[in-house]
Amino acid sequence: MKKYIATMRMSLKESGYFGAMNVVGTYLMKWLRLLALLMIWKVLFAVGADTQGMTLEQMLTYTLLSAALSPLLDVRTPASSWLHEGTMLSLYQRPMSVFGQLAASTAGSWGMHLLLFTLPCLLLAPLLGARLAVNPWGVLSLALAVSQGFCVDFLFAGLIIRANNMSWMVESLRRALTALFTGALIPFAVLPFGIGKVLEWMPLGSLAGAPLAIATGLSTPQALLPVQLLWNALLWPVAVWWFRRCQERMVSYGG
Amino acid sequence: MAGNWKALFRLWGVYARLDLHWLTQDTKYCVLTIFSDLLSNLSSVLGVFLLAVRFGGVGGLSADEVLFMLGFYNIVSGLFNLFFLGNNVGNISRRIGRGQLDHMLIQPLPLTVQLLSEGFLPFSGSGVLLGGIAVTVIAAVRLSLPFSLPWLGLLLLMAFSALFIWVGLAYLVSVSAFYHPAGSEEISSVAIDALATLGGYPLGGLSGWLQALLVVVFPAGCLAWLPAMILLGRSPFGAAALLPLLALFICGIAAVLFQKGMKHYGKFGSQRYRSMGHRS
Repeated sequence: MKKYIATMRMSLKESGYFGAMNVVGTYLMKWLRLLALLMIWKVLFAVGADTQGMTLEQMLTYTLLSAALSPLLDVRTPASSWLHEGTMLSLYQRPMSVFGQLAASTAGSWGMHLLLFTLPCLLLAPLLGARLAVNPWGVLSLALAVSQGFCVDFLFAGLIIRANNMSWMVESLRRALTALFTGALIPFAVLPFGIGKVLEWMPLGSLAGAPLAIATGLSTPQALLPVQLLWNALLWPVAVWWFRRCQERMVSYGG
Repeated sequence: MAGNWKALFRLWGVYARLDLHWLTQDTKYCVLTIFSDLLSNLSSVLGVFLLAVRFGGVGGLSADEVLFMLGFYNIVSGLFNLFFLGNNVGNISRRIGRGQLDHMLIQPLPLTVQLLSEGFLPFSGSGVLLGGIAVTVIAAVRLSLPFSLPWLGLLLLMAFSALFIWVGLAYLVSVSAFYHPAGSEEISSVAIDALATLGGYPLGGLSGWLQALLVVVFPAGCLAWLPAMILLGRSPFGAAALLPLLALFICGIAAVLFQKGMKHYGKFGSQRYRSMGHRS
């Protein structure tokens, strides 16, 4: 366990590699984006449209949590960039599991976001119109979403290997899929034509949509936790098998 | 001057050939690239459009007007991909920060010609542009907008103004990479992503100060919302002139500061340069 904690610590230090200017710029943009989104939702709700019973407070809480927990709701291990840069090969030279190293490195990279963005978001939530309450089911759902997020990331890593390191193309494919189908940006509850009901059952829908819907009271744990458990149980064996199969074809070069 | 233009067109031809070869090197890559472009188009339009359908419009724009705005946003985004996506030409802070500018300075061509040509991806980078044009035409037909020459001219002016505001801002912030190569290597992608994230939202319902902030100070509203309002005839008089002027202003400042940064680079170079051309 000690070696994984050391990996996390290294990853945390590395996340500040680009210096203070990059950190300030990145988090300033995140705040600007969050504030603009909260304003847009306020304006939309002020119109008085049919929101299927979703209140403004729920929407603001949903948006705030989605931004605050974004790296946990859309897990990105360094696998894609490390495959492209060639760093991936060095993971096989260490006496640690490759999955474990990627997971520890990812968890370490969350540190700065949690400290500089998540914490202030949670502290300022009442001022921004959101209402947060401790919800154990929401926490459990988040843990399942993180687990499934790792699994989805390994599936995409395998795809990058199979596509001979075309990581940029796979990234744009992934961005397009996650923007709409995870529920991170727009809650399924406000999508028209019953689209949200379908997406809720999809594997990507369990990533952000499920924990956020449970945390904001838009859905019940009884409805969403079994779906999350099911996708975790189905996708993990597939991800492990797929990655093992793909790693034999791994080719890395400098980026 | 004429020689530079000639060189630019010749290089566009070369990069077009290279891009075509890259795209058609393998059927699998080709199909995956086209599929990825289609999905990107769909996802960038669908989210906000579905909201507009559900809410009967967003920020004072009807669902069809929102569709028009999103189509226009994809045109601008597509133009960025077409001219500036390749070789990190848009993400110029990466090349400055990694010391890769040295490779350009030893070429027998002006830097401007190289920057205007190296990013050109007419085949693999045109998917978003084509999707944007299709969505804009569909929305314009539904809204019965005039397809007159002056209106199309205005559309082009707005699209290129928005593009140069986007690129100008990326170059403006990238100047810091001359002075802080490691710290600012990714600064252009931060600015580009932030503009892209907010650029596709209709800002009509926001308070006046926030609208002004998102148009003049951090011009995300200039990528799609303001140009769409102008093209729909919904903006105040004179707004049509604001966009080209803002683009000129931002690009002008970026050019002056970039030159200054180049002088600094000329004196101090980059400590991060490696013969393999990659960052240390």
